[in-house]
Amino acid sequence: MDSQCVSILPRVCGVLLVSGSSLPDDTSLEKLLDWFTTVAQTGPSLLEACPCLVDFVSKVAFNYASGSSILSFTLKLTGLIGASEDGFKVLKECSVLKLVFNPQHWQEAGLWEDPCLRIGWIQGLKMILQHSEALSFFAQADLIEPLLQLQTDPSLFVASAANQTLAQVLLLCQSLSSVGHNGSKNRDLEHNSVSMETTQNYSGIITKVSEYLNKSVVLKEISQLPGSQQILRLLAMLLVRVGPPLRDTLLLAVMNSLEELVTTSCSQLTVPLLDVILAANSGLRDDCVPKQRLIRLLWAMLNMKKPDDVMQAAAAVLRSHQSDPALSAHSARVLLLPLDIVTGVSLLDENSTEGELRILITEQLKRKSCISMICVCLSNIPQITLMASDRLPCPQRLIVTAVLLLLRLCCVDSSSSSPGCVEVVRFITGNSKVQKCALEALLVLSKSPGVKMVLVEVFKVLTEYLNSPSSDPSVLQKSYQVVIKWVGVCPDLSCITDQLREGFIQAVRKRACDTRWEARDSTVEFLGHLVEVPSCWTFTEQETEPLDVLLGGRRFTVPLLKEALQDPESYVRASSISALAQTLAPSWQDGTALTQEQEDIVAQLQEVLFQDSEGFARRAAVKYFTAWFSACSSPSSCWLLMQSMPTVLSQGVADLDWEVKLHTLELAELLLDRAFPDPSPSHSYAVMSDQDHRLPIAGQQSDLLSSLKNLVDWGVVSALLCGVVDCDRPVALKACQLLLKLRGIVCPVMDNAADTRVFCQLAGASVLQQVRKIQEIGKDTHVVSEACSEADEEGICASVDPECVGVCEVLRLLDLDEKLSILTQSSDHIYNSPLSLLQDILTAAAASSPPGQDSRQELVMDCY
Amino acid sequence: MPEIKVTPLGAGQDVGRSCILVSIGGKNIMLDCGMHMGYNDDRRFPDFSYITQNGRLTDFLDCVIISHFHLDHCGALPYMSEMVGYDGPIYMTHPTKAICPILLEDFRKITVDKKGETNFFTSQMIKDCMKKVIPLNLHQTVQVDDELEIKAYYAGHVLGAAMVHIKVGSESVVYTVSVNKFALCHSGAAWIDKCRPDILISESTYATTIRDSKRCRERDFLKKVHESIERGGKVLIPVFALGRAQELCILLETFWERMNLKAPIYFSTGLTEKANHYYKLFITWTNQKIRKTFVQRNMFEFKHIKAFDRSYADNPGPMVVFATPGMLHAGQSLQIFKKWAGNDKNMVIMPGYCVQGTIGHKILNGQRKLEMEGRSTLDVKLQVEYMSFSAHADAKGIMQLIRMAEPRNMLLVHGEAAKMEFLKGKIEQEFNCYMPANGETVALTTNPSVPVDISLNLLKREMTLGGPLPDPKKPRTMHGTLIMKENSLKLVSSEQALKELGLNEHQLRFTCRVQLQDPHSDSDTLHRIYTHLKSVLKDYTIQHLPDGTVMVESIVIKVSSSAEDANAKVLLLSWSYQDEDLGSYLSSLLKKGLPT
Repeated sequence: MDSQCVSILPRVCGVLLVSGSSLPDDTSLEKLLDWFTTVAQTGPSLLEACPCLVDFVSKVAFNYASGSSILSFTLKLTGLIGASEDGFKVLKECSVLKLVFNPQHWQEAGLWEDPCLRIGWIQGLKMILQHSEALSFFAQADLIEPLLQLQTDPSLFVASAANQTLAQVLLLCQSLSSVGHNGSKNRDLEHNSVSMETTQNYSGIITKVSEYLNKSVVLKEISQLPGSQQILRLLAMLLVRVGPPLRDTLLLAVMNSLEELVTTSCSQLTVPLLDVILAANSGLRDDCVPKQRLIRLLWAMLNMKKPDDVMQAAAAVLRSHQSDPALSAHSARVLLLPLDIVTGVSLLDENSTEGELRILITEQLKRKSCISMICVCLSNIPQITLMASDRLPCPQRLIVTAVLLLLRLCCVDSSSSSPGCVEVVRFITGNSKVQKCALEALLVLSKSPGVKMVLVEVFKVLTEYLNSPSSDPSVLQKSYQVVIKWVGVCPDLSCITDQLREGFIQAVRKRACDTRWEARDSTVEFLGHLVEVPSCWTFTEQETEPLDVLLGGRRFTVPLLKEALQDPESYVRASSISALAQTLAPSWQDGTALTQEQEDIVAQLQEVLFQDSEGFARRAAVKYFTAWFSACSSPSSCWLLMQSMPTVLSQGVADLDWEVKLHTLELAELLLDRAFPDPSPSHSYAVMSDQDHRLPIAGQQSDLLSSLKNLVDWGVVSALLCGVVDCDRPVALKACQLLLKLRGIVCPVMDNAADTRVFCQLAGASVLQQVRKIQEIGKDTHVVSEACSEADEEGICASVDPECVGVCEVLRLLDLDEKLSILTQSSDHIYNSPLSLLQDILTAAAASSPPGQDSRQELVMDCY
Repeated sequence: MPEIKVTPLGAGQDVGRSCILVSIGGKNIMLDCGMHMGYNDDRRFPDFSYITQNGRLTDFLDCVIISHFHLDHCGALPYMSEMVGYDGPIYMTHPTKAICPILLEDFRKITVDKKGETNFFTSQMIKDCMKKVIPLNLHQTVQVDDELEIKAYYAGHVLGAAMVHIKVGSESVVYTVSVNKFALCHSGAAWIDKCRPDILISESTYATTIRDSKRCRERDFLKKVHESIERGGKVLIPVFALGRAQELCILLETFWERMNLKAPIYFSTGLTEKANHYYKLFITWTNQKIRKTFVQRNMFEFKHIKAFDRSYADNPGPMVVFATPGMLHAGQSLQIFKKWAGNDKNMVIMPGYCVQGTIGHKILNGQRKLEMEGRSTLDVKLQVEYMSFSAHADAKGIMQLIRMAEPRNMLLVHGEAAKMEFLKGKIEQEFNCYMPANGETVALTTNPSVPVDISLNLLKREMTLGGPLPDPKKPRTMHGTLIMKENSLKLVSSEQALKELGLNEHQLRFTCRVQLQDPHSDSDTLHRIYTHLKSVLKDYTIQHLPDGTVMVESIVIKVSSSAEDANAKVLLLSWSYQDEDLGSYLSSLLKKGLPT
């Protein structure tokens, strides 16, 4: 731990003691606790590192006047100190422990009402409960009583923390008990007596917890509903976390109460009750008695009278992947019932046992509340599709048909009518919630066996949605996702006729000029994603791209995307640039000659880089060139790309948006890697021996020289030098890393003469100024001008340009290693360091002390 | 009884991230979904596991409503919708929808600038989240579903800020951010309807203060900038990309024009253009002063304020620079600060909140020696000023709002506990007021009025009975049969009810026995009863029938003697439910005995 921190910590404690209200902000105490936790976890002991903390804790414990946040902090800190056995002993010796964790102490002071204090008490307790000593203390002080009372605290946060702590208590009991049993043989008497005591503590606590759970699970009156819900949540958590035999003990203790609760059929308890039953059920063997009772309970819940509750129960059973085949098959049937009734598609045998439920659900489907029931049905279809086919109530293909029919019924512009429940149609038509759930289901159903047959139907329904002007943008987005998914999994698109294609094209064209930018953006994104779907087969049995089959190929999409480059919404402009890159990528890979259209696009993208007022489009433009360069096997073959490079790099690195700059540097990195392919380890910029410097290989040098010149010509070097002095840390860091890489490759090989042969022009005064400054600080200031004169004689540098710098010289002069270490530290160095936090607390206290100065208080409350 | 529940997951007795859950009429609504900028880990977002532990927020929440674009109100939205997986509707006003992503991008930059940042949303996620947002127009009622409707009102706190009226059936809640006085200027009396919500949930940031006027603060700001410029110093104003920056630009621009000042003013952010674009686009949402001036000239096209190049920072002479980010923790503003910090002629004006740990926070607390990266130390000699231009409500504004909306209950959020307590005391003189801590639930029983249709026939019948004409202001009792048909209630006559429901009428008669001593024969006793009733009930039809009964309206009276005692008579009375009053009267009359 930093000695400076240790030295100022007592002062910080003093400040906290005096008043908690002068803290820099509401996060300081939590951050301080975070730091103490790190110290406790990484160092030998928290008290050893910060001995002043005991004194602090003692003083706060006796001082009621401290603010509730300081008290809460102190309680947690006490827990943290006591988490180690040494710390626990110290706290015990100075009588702090009993006082701090005695709820009566806080009740008498009138502070227990504050949830902040109760949270501190619980969390402190949770932290301390790490060893047998702590458990003994917990048992002897009878802290289980107040802890149990807090399980149903009116504050969600307190109750939840209390639940967690109770679990911690039980886990500790469990682990100590197993240690006691395993280790007692070889221990001495004294240890055995401790072990005995622990076991007694353990059983006493378990008994109390079991009694409490058994008593609390049953709902006595409706006003206790929130408490019951909380107890069930607690029980579910305990059953998941604790292992046998404790788990069985708890389960047996509450079994009767659970059975009683199931019979009350309280809808608000259905979900938490199911969670408990399923949690209990998951870890049990099939042949054990509780398992049979639990299965009976699940059946009871699946046979309740309220359809919503039954649906919830069925969904929970399926989600939990029950091993009982009858139970999961029945649940699937229950869940499919609404779909069966609404669409009239016979998914289920009507003569089955669900007759009564069918009547109840049919009645419910005539009411407004049918929406949630249909959504539960649809959102559980993924679980149903995961079932083994022999347990499914019907072939998956039928489910697809039903979902498609439902989608048709939901579509405002569809003329379909339901052969099933007629009344439901008025509620679901145009309901985007149902539409989205159905589309999600359809997305998953694409993987179903034998669904290729319905591809045309799917396509027609989705075209209907894309055509409908009343489709919500989020529904449109989902529809596009479904198209991509279905086309991706159905390699045979021979069923797509010209007529279907024409309809689809029209729908897409319409949505590309929708008044809502969200719809336009999803359309443009779709055009890009479609390119990436693998090739498929057409009716002519030729391998072709889905883009060609669905939309007639690039001759349709490229003009549409070019148009979208002019979109008033920047998100759409950015998406269209990305989609263009995706669309043109195959032609770049093939090395197909550029068309006039592509040349126009490049001009437009350069315009975007220069003129677009928003970062999203400019970021996409730089990425377009990156994608192009990556796809191009030989840069020389693409003259236009390389011709654009200096403009893109110079413009990109000078952008106002940090991400544009970063993407530009990523492009520069690609160019760098291409210029110096496969650098051997000797070129690593880490360590270079003197010998390497002395023995340059002539051929290697000339190659490097030519590559370096290329980099300069492309604008890579100036972009990196520009980036390294950027004020945005990620940009500067990236540029610095690349410059180091370049230095590692170039400098060891180049001799001084070569230094003077490669120059870089630095546009942008501030970069040059920095370089000049470094030169001045560095060594002789006339190097550049001399070099330029020499170069001029050789005809390399046309004139003595004040903006001209020698590349190798700059690489050597700039203290890149130091810069890298600073940039790597980032602002975290200040932002996250404990010293900074401690100093902030001290200065804030000092700032708040002058009387009549309350501007800081207002500052704390100011909005962001 | 139906109840409305309110649980703050954030902003309950604090000014951290706002996230308030409301359950009303079986619907669950999340009001705001903010982030806490002071944390780097999960603590910066609300803990959604308190809502549902299986992560299926869409199943639980019916909608999310965002009040305004500040990150402590919307910063967790992409996390919630794209990482936790909420797929339901999100509502906010048009300007908020436009500006929200700018600030989210701004914050994303701050976050990725830090080391080891993980679990944070991407640019694509922000976009996808915004695509789920449904924009709200002012005063337009939006039907979230068949039962839940919301309506936005102008709040004036920042561009696009709104208060929202949420209604399910006859229960309603109004949620408002800090409403400031400009809200009143903006649309006068139409600010908010007298909607009498069951609960008004309001921010209470400046709960105790009646704040000094914004004008004073503006004057102070201009004075400080001017003084610094006059003595040849440079002024740095670190700002977020949007919000206060625009307002301060307008202030300086006007002042420069008026004073004919020549010192350059620069604005160094790439996002400013977009921000200005939105201010122009949503001019109707800005305050009255800006709108008025806008008519004369476009206030967002600045004459004196120019784009900044980083080399300008080294130029000699005075200048004013607006630079991002606002907390001086990285980027352009920090770079300029480092350059200018050593000169006592210079000044930095912090117009907003700074998170602990940032340079902005440190200098505001008076640190004069800052340890920078690489263990270098920076001596801060320049002047440090803090100016709050935050447009939060004060106690006066909140009280005005309460009087306007006339809520049944008041609930305070987004404020410090101690200061809330003060305001609570003030409000409680007139209304019930609550201030739950985070995680605490306030449950209020409501008394919803249930609308019932009344049949015309029944009304007509009432009128023929001579009662006053129906008057909505004067409630009165009416008799009829309440039937429920197609989810609506109707009060009709019993005949109509039988007809509509297709039921047969059943007669219901009450009977009772009265014992009395009368030493006469049964027929004499009956006659004596007849005579007695004749004398008592003068206006009623009383018959002595030959079958040995006396009838008064529908009431039948028979006499029989006891087998043991001939003087002990048992009177049998029977009447239909329509004559229940008369039947009861007769039984009590006869119990008293017959006159001798």
